[in-house]
Parts: sequence; structure tokens; C-alpha cells
Amino acid sequence: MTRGLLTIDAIVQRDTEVLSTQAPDETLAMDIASGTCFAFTGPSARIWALIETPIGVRQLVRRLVEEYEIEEADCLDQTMAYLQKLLAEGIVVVADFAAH
Amino acid sequence: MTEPVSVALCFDRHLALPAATVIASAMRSASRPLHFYLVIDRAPGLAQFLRSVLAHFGAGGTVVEATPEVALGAEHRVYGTASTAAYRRLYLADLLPDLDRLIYLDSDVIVRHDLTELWEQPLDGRPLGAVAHGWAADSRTMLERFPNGFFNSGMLLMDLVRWRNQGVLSRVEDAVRGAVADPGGTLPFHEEGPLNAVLVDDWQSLSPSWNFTSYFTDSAAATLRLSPELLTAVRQDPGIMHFAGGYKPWLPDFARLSHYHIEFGQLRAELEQSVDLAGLVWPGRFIGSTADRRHRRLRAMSLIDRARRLNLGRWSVVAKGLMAVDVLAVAREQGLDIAGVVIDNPLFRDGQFGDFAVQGLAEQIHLGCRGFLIADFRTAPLTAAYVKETASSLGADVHILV
Repeated sequence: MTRGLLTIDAIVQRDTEVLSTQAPDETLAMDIASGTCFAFTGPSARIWALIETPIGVRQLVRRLVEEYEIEEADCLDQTMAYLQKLLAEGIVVVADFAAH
Repeated sequence: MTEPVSVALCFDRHLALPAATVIASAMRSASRPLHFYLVIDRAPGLAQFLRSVLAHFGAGGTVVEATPEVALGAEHRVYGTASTAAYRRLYLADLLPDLDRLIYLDSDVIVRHDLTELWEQPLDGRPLGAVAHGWAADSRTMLERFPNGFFNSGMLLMDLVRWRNQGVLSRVEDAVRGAVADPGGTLPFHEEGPLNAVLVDDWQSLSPSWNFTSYFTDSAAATLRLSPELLTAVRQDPGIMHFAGGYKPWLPDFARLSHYHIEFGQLRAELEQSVDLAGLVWPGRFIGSTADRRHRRLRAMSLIDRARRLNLGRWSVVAKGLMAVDVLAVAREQGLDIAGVVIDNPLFRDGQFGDFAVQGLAEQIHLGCRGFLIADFRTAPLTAAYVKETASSLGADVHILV
């Protein structure tokens, strides 16, 4: 997987250099390279869990819509914005279909 | 009629079930009536629950709803919840003006011997009898800061008349306010540090039997000039076992850590079978701040990641405090093979830590383990040095990860 552009057709996955653990109240992650740590709770923890293995953004949004019973358009906007943040932190990698 | 022994506990709703277990334990060996003063926060159904506990175990008791310590502005954050109840013991002489003498107990103890014997201990004109803290005796910093000794405030035999006459409360209040104003100062440990600072040479040292903790290591006992014979005898049969620190007996991981933890479990079972718990639940982990909790887990992740990269095979976890729980959890997540849990404390010999039997360090080395993960949040370099020294004395070459 390459570090590509985040689009609705992209496939996303956690960076394999990021360690993750399920603590009692939250999910914690640590970027080994930078030593930066992250804490996820609620929907953010769910997104983090779902991107443990490669998943398409469309499929990810469909899962979240089902689980949280929210509007698809809102879910897509919020999920894309959140993935952009994770991408900027360097803890998620992206590939679009064209890369495969 | 025999005068009852007066015993006080101060707690809020989240420690109600452990406090009820204290009552159950004390009534087993009481040769004379016990009267409990349960000083609690106002909470729905709590007083009624405690009255049913007292009635079931045949204890006398008074439930007092009072939180005079709140005005101090101090807060004690444990079990994930803010509480001021730890400071309430300071006010017992004022809250119970008709009493002259009182035994105060923390809610994480079990009483194993007749409290009459403790009640009758002479205080030689001092306002307080207490037991030296094993942990402080093992700490160079604490020995420097409190050269006359440092007691654990989980059991206090109080001469309330002298306490009032000497104005102990107002002096300790001043010390607590000073500590609140200067959190990085020299009086940590909530009410315990200020109490020790005020009563610096005015407390009667009692036998460790009356507040025994896992902190009474061989080295602590030597510092406290306790003979090995006395230490062994108390370790085998303490009058009061105090589950100080993180290894609380109501937590599943530690339910079989020592035979005292198992004894607690039997008392707990009796309580749960005989009294309506009124929706109360057992407390969670004894934890400090969220930052500490995260830090422990992240360190555990780093430890396990490095162990996996070394590809050494099986590792043993050297447990000191709660970080070992995190290390074992992350090892499970990441598929690292763990050989066992090492705790070199005679109290936990033959105990069970989560899914693992507790073993001594030398025993693990003899069994062929050569990789040791130091699960120690605060004093890891000291623990690592101990492992290295022990391995070296046994002629073993070991990998140690801190």
C-alpha cells in the first residue's frame, strides 16, 4: 500500500509501525517512529478498529452508518475529515484503486 | 456489661462493599462486643445497606452521615473516582465527642485477630498508636524525609482525649492546606504525610501484626529492626491484613494472589450470599490519574514490542504494581509467549497473578527462563538491577527489558 490521496474510493489502513492496545476505557496507539501517542474512544475507537486491516472508505462508512444509525452523507463527511487528521498524523496509509 | 470496642471506618459509596467485608471479618474473632461507627457520604440506600450488614453479622453500629473534610479542599483520586473520604479520619475526635478511644480502619483490610488485644495496647501518653510503613522503610527518600519513622494511616489506635487536648486536628488541617497549596512539596500521600509530619515523634509504634501489608519485605523489616522470627510469624498470621497498594483482593486478577486474598474472597462470598447488596458494586482498579494509567499501558506496549523484535522465545514478567496487568494484557494482544509472573515477595509465594502462578526469580531462572520484562512503573531501574544481580549470582546470562 502506498501513501496516496484520500478519496471516497481509497483503501485505508493503519500504518503497521503504529502499535495499538485495547485498554479498559479506551484504545491507545503509539507511533514507534515518532513516539507520539494517541487515545481513541467512541466512534474514533471504532474507526481505528475497522482500519486495522485494509478497508475501502465506502465500506467503512457503510459499517458506521449501520452501527451508529446516522445519515450516510454526514457520516461520510465526518469520517473523511477524521481520516484526514489521522493521515496528517502519519498513522494511516492510503491507496486508491488506481494504485492496485 | 462489657464496654464495646469502638471501631470507625470512613468511606463513600464506592468502598461500601469492602467496608462491609471489614465488619464481617472483625466479627469472626471478636471476644467482646464491637461497635462500628460508619462515617459515610450521604448516598441513596447506603445507610440502610450498612445497617443490614451490621444486623446480619451481629455487630453494634452507628451510621454517621458527615463530610467535614470537604472544607479542606483536598481531593483523593483513587479507583477512578474523586473522593475526600480519606481525610475524614482526621475529624473522628470531633464527630464522636462522647468517645475516649477508637480504632480507625481503612476499608481495604480484613481483621483476623480479636480487636480487644489491639484496643488494650498502651499508648504511653501519646494521642496515636500506629504501625510503621514497610514501604517507607524501603525508600531512601522517605527515610531522609522522615528520619523518626513514618506510619501507615490505614489503622490508627486513637486516644481521642489527647487528640482533642493537643489540638491535633487543627495542626494537621494546616499541614493538609499547606500540602494542597504546594502539591509538589514535601508532604504527599493525602492525609498520611501531614499526620506523620505533625505527630513526628508523638505516635506509639505498634506491632506490624496490626497493620500488615505486602510492603513488609525482608529489607524493610531489617530497617525497622524487626527480627526475622517476628516477621515470619506475622507474615503467617497477622492480626489485620491491609491490602495496601494496587493488588486489591476484589479484583479478579488478584483474587488468588495470597491466602489472605483467598480469605477475603470467602468473606466476600458470605456477604454476597447473605445480604442484599442494594445495587452496590465492587470498586475497580486502584488507579491514579488518567495520565498514569495511559503511561503504564504505553510503556507496556513498548516493552512487548521490543521483546517481540528480540525473538527470544518465552519471557517472564517481573511484577511490581499494576503495570504487570498491562504488560500481560498487551502480551496477549500481540501474541508474546509469557512463561510466568515473578514476584519475590514471600507473601505471594504460591499465589496466582491473573492466569499465571507466581514464582520467585531464582526459580524462574532455574526453570530456564532467560528473558525478563520489568513491569514496574516507578522503580524499574532498581528492579532491573535486582534481576541482574540475582541472575549473575546464579551464573545465568539473561536479557532484561525495562
